[in-house]
Amino acid sequence: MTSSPVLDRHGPGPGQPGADGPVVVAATKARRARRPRALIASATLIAAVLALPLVFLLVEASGSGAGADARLIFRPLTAELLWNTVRLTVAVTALCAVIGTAAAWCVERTNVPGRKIWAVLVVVPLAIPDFVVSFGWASLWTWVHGFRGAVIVMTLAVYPLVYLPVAASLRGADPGQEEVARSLGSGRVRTFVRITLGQARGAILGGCLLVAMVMLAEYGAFEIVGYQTFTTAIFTEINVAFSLPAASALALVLVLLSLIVLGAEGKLRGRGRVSRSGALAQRVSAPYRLGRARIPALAGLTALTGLSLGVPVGSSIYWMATRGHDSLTGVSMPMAALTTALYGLLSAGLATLMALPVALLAVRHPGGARRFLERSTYLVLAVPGVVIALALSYFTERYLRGFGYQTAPLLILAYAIMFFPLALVGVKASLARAPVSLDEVARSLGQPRLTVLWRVTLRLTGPGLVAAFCLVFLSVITELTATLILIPTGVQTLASQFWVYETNLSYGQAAPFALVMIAVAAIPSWVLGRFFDRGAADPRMMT
Amino acid sequence: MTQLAVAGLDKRFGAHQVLTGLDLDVPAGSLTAILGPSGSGKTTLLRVLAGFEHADSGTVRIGSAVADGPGVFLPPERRRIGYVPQEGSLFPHLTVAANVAFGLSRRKWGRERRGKRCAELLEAVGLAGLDRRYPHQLSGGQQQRVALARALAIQPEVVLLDEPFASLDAHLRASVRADVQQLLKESGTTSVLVTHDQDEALSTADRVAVLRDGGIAQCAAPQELYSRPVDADMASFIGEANLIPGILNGSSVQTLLGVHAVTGPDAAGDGAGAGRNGSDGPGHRPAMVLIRPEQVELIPGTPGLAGVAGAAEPGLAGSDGTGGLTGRITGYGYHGHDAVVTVQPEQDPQAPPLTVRTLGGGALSPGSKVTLRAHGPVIAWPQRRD
Repeated sequence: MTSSPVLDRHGPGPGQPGADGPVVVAATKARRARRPRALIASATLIAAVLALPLVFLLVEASGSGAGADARLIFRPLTAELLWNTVRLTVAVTALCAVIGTAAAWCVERTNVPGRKIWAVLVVVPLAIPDFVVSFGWASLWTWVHGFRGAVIVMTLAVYPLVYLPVAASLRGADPGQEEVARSLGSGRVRTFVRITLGQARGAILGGCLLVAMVMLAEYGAFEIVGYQTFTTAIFTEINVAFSLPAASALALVLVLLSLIVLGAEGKLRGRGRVSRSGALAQRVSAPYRLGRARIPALAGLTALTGLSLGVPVGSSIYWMATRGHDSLTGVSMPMAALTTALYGLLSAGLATLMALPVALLAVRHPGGARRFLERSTYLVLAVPGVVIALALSYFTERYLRGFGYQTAPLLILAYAIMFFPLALVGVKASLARAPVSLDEVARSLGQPRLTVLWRVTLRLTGPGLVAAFCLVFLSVITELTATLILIPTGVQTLASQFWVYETNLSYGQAAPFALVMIAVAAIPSWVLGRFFDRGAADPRMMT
Repeated sequence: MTQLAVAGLDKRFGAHQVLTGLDLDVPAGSLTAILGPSGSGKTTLLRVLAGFEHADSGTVRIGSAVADGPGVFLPPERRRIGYVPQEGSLFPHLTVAANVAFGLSRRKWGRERRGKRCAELLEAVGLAGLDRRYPHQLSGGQQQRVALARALAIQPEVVLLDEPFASLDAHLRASVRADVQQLLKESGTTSVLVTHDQDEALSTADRVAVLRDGGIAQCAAPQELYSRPVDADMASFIGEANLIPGILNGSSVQTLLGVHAVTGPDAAGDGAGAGRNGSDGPGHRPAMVLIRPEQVELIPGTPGLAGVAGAAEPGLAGSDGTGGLTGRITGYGYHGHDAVVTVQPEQDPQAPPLTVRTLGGGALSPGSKVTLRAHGPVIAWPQRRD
């Protein structure tokens, strides 16, 4: 380095406000450290909106009196529903755990041919709406029915919920631990059980709980295979029997079940910490050589993809090709697509907007009370879509004399509440890419708050915010349960129009809607998955 | 002239009082290091100076303006502070050139001058030609240089560096540190460097302020800090120190190493217990004596006439300081340029071993007998006898 005249200070340079003079007066402010008041206020408001469904549910229950509630809850039907729901949940969760973990291990840790392709194909079924999988199977074979049918269909539809976290955990696991175990005289099988599965244990259990939550909330798939759970019973009470008190009583039990699962998940997450030495230098373990076992491995993956992806797609194509005497009238495909897209855009925007203040508080201003505020918003997870729809119906009926019931704004609000947790996860992840230290540096370089927001924070978080928006959008366009309850009369979305055709056994007319939903949901999900996978490796990828 | 002045600064987080009545003056054009163990509040102080935190009370004056004081708070963007955080915190979505030019307003600087200044700064930090790179394509040392160039671009009143070298590899650290020091000196920028590394503070800064118990315990030039620490704690915090008991008698002090001259009565007047001792007049007073390892000469073997060996009571040896103290080597750390030897005084197996720094030191092995002799004036703090 040589002496350079540039560095000599020549008084206040151009563009640099003198540090003395009127500036001081203009900048006079309260001396106490500022609390993010506006943020806290808006986050509290949002938490309140999110709590509405639960509150209405409790109000409704208390309104009808403890005796009436007890009579509605303690009846044989409830016991039967409980048995149905629990045994199905347990069966599907166990199957998903086995299938998801095995598939993840095959794809991530072995030398099975075509690993990269399998990694994509195995995840795609997650994007296909469960009721479309159910339709694909049940429309072809009548034996796909009842408990057996529900187990087959739901396992194939939701096993990726276990696969994804387990695959991620296997990918990130420290290969050194396995090597050490082997060097200490532990055999291959023992090492796999004690170390490999041990490392993935948290991921497996986490995935299982996600599966259980989905099982509690699912409606369409069960209706198609004719299996009764709490959710289908609640739906029937609302839409067929028009009995809100009976629906609410059942909903109380369902929410309680969800809370139990959610609580278990939170407890697990607190405990399951996997430590990893030397996080910076990530080593990839050498793939396990399958040898002769590659044939059964390949066969297994092929069967899994064929059953979960091939059957629904093939079945839809079959019904479209053999469309016979179907002649139901309904909303045209473009019209339904337009409505769906509009609802999706509006509710994704609303959900992302609602997530912003909560995420900002959680990431930028952590603190006891604020953390509680953020945590409270996760309660929505325990409220299935059917309950949210029920609560909002109850609200309009009770307090607005039916005004607003089955209108677009109410439906959009329901979507935004339902998928808020999804938006929150995405927004929080995107905010983590813009550490507060960058804001501070920018301000020390003379940039006011708003300029910093524009030139730094939004540049870094923008792509992540768009991704969060897309996630919600994709979920909304395949939502069925709340849609059926709250959709305005005379309007149909892709899912609800599909439902009308399906329930009238007009499979030929339902099939194109199924295929369109598979296409719009699966392809962008794949792109999004790739986006999230690439992560923060190269920040320019995001712009 | 004082460029940065802090007076009576208090800062607490909840129940935790981090800074208590802190005073600090930073002369213009100087490089002042704030030295303290982790958790001592260094970073909090820096963040208050930068305006990222509000002081609870006290004033911060930057240049001629009050930045934080009763009824006044200048936001960070009005303070003209060049802030260099620990990890550099370059904007990941901007090129090196755009990072450096970030604080230069396009409107006021104009496109051409902005580009020119940016190129000059990159040249100055030795990164000419890398202007189109993105931060993740730079090494850690290069990132720090860009962060410094970015901070200097706005011609700041003061540059604040928050442990800027801590995240660098050891071999990089020395060269980056030297370059940064030279650059700051050449530009005549007033700078404040926060660090927990004594070597870094002593070798880089013109003045070192030691942060302790929420305040500045001592602020002085590195040489003075080392040779005249305000108390025994400070002595052992800055470099290695033998702290041994002694008897103070006027301008000399007697220890088990012999009798030593005491530097400056002022230096000793401040010590713990001086006030409580009451009489300041001449007489024998117990004291804590600082003898730096390099003040002790190590002679292999025992002297012909053991001057001190006959002393019955440690600390009361009747020798005139010429004989020396015999002991056995208990530890030996070889560092190439020198060696650090610990010696257990033979006459008192209970006393803490003495640390000696010796050049070369070929044939020393643990267990062998040596004679120690102290040189030069020492520092002594009077103590109350317990």
